[in-house]
Amino acid sequence: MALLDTALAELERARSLRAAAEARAGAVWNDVVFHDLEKRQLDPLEIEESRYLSTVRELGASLDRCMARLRNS
Amino acid sequence: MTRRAEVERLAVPELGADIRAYVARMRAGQSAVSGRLADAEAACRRATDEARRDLSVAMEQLAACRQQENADTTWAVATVDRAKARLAAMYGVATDVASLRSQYEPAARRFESATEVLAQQVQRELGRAEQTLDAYLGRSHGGGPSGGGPHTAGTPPVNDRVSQPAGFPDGVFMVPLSLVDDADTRVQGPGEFSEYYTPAALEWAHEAFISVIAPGIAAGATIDTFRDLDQAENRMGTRSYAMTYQGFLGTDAIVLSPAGAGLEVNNGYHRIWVARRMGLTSVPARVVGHGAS
Repeated sequence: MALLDTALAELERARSLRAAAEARAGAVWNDVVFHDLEKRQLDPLEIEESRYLSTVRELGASLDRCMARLRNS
Repeated sequence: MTRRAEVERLAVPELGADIRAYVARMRAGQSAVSGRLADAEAACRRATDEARRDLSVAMEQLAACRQQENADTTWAVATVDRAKARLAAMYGVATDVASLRSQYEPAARRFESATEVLAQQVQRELGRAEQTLDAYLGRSHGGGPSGGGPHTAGTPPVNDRVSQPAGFPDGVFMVPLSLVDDADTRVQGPGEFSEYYTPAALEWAHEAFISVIAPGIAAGATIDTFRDLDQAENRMGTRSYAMTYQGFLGTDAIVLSPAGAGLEVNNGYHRIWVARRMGLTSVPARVVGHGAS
């Protein structure tokens, strides 16, 4: 099992929760969620979330390689 | 109130609950990532310490070997070289892990900032929705001594954040959910509901109470008014106003009683569970046993 599997599973569950909430809320989602993100010079939540998850996946793969080097040295 | 405003007023609390759950889950995930990263760093430290000790032992063995006359130091030198190489490798891994942390942290901070914005925004939206609702109902929630309406027997149950809006029967109050301790509930999810009183049916009832029953009784409506309304709109069963009236203000009301600094649940776990899921901040409930204290 990779080092960040459990954390990634938790983050992916959160992503699914967000997608379902967005679908349920419809137009209200944009009114509530997007406005302040723009003011803080952040991208829409979906993009921030995707960027973060991508970073975590890369981190997980790199950490697994580091731990393998640790074990094999 | 326009139809869009009504839809938004109902959607915002639900969205608020969804976003709070999302933020909590994301933070749990982020915390898990930080924890695993810290584990990796700790593993690097342990491995580096062990490699350092091995090198120290190997160097002591080499020194001892060199003190012996005509001793063959080949094996001892090779051991030292291997220990040095291993220590260098451990340092390399530790450096790489430190570099990974420095790359991860800005991304984590940026995403934390996004979720923090969400949490703050939702808090504000929920506050705004509650104010709108209060204005609509012509009363105020929880604003200190003047915030509540008249209480039965002149004794407020638990504290002044509990109010008794106009038209509410004796003993029935609007109670903030923050005061309700339902930790002993057996209701953990939709699977705990009957086919008749489903979560969707109870959500309908909460919404009907907020938008129809509460303003109606404040204006003098009685259960007969709601029966007439049901007949006119062809409503019956769990999605009728009369049943909602009985369910929240009559014999089937949520029943709470003082316990410590809050209120424990005698009846109504399912409605309370649904109310929390909807993001509601208060529920109508009969409060019993509060006059004695």
